[in-house]
Amino acid sequence: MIITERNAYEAVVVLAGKKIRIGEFLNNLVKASVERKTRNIVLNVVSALPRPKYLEVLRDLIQSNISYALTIKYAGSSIQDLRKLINERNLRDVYVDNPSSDVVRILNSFNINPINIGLKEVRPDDR
Amino acid sequence: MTDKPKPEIVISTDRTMMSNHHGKEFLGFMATGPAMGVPEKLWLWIAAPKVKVDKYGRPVQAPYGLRKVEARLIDDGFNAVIIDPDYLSKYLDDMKVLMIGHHDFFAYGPPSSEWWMITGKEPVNRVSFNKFMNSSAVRNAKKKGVKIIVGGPAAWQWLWELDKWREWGIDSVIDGEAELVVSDIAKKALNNEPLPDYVYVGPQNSPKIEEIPIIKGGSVNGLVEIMRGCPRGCKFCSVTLRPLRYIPIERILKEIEVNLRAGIKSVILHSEDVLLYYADGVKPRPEPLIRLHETVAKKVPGSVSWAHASLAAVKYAEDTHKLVSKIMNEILYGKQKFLGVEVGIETGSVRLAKIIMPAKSAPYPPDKWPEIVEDSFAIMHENKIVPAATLILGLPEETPDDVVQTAELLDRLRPYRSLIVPMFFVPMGALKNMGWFRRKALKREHIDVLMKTLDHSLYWAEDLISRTYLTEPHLAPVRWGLKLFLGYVRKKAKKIRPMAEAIIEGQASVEELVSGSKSEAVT
Repeated sequence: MIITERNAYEAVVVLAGKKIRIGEFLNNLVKASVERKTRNIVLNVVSALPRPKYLEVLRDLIQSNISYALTIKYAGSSIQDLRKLINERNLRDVYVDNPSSDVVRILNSFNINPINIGLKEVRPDDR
Repeated sequence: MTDKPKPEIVISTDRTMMSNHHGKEFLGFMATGPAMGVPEKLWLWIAAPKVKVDKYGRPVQAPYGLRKVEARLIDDGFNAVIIDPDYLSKYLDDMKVLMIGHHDFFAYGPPSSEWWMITGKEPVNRVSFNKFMNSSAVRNAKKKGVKIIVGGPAAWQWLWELDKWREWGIDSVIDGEAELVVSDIAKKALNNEPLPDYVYVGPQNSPKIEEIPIIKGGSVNGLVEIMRGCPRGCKFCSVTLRPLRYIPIERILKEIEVNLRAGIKSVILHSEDVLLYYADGVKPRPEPLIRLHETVAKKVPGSVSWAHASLAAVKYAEDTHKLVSKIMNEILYGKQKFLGVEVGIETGSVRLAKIIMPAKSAPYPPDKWPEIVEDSFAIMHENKIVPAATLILGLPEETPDDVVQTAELLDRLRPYRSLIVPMFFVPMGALKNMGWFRRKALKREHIDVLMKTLDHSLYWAEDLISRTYLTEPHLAPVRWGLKLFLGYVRKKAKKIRPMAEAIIEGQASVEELVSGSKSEAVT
């Protein structure tokens, strides 16, 4: 295990390639890390975007952080990969950029309520 | 006689990094620009000539960061070695992991990106790194299944070059102090375990003094680290979050001995701020600095240089303790003609200084920033210290008046021997759109500052080349090449001056300068 993974706050990130709310995502990660008294964060990414293309979505997050160790791992691209990750690692915190996808239904079947980090679309009525 | 090494881990980089720049660190900066006025081959030879290697391709001098990684891996029991890029192909049958370090992989850092923007031509460090990664040695290594791990201060740049990351088959990127991370990653790579794509090493994962290994081979121009971290506390900077660690003199001497055994007779003391070695916060203390310089000066037959110093520390050290003159005129007297150092001016505007770097002037208030700059330049000139200074233009908070104040400060700095390099603060997205930068980001006031820095640096570069910096007979060809370049720049400057002056006086626009046939003036 790499030192940046020891006693880390570990989460799953499911990326469909949408824009994400960096500030809110980072705040969530920091809050969860503080609760667990750690400054190491590990993100396991499941994304249809191939390796390393998915990092484009996380680029601003990585560059906004200077205080926390961040280890980013690619965990696959399919629903099966996501199921396997959650089954084997028992990870409960899952961040998604697209809450309307099938992913949410699968996560709900594990009693996981995903945290939406996708950028909210602004409709004309919302303005 | 030793046998050819059979390393499982090879550490390397491209030529612009794997060079001692003719023993003149400042010449390395030329690798951050494109070839101008001379053929690219000549430019590259001036900036980054091939380094001396043994018969197995092990360089006598290698970048300090690579030496630290090599030392950590060796201390942890790995068979690792630094190999010159020209010799990589000889290790294809042995290596399982290729580690590559750089401080500016893609020329997105300062001042490379500024040269790139202004000239519209790719800097040679970028060209050289691309060539290295596309070389048959690196490509064949990848084909054979070698894991490629990259890192160093420019690791973040890979996030902006994901296509190249994929094309070149990079397996992992390490960003931050690597000592406590690199061996675990190496072990995973050698065991064919999955590697993390990106690791940002946090401040809490910084090594303690005793966990920082002593280098095993010579470092470029004898660079040795004397401290890590910075006490200034600027909120945008990760260095300041890391624990402040002073390297004890005994460890510094051990590394100098390694360099001396490699035939490197000079030393560059490396720190974010050399004068803050065992300081009282941001106030330099005489005892540790005198002891450091006396001990080092006694140890090395050649010269002593500083990597970086802050202008506030220069002023405080001299005004309070006469420390700068003591170091230069007593301790280093007779040893060298001058001492080179990088410093940051960044701005001549008090308003902007308060916003972007409120702690940079400490222990003086930021209101005094322009005076601090001027006073410390005078102190350095008086004591034969030659600073290479940076300015930052185009910050989001910048107003035309801020730039005017910087231009006025430059006028006052003219009498002091120094090189001043302007840097543009540019959003990364803009790097993909050079045209946008030239049309929209360059303002009239910037042209004024650019012309002033050009005049200043041209004036003092000639003086330095002929009288101070490159006087050794064996450097005559380098002097000649540089004079050729300076002649070219002078000619170009003369050509664009009327248009630049018209812009400064408001009689022409920057757009006119950069559009159509007039664009040649800038490039």
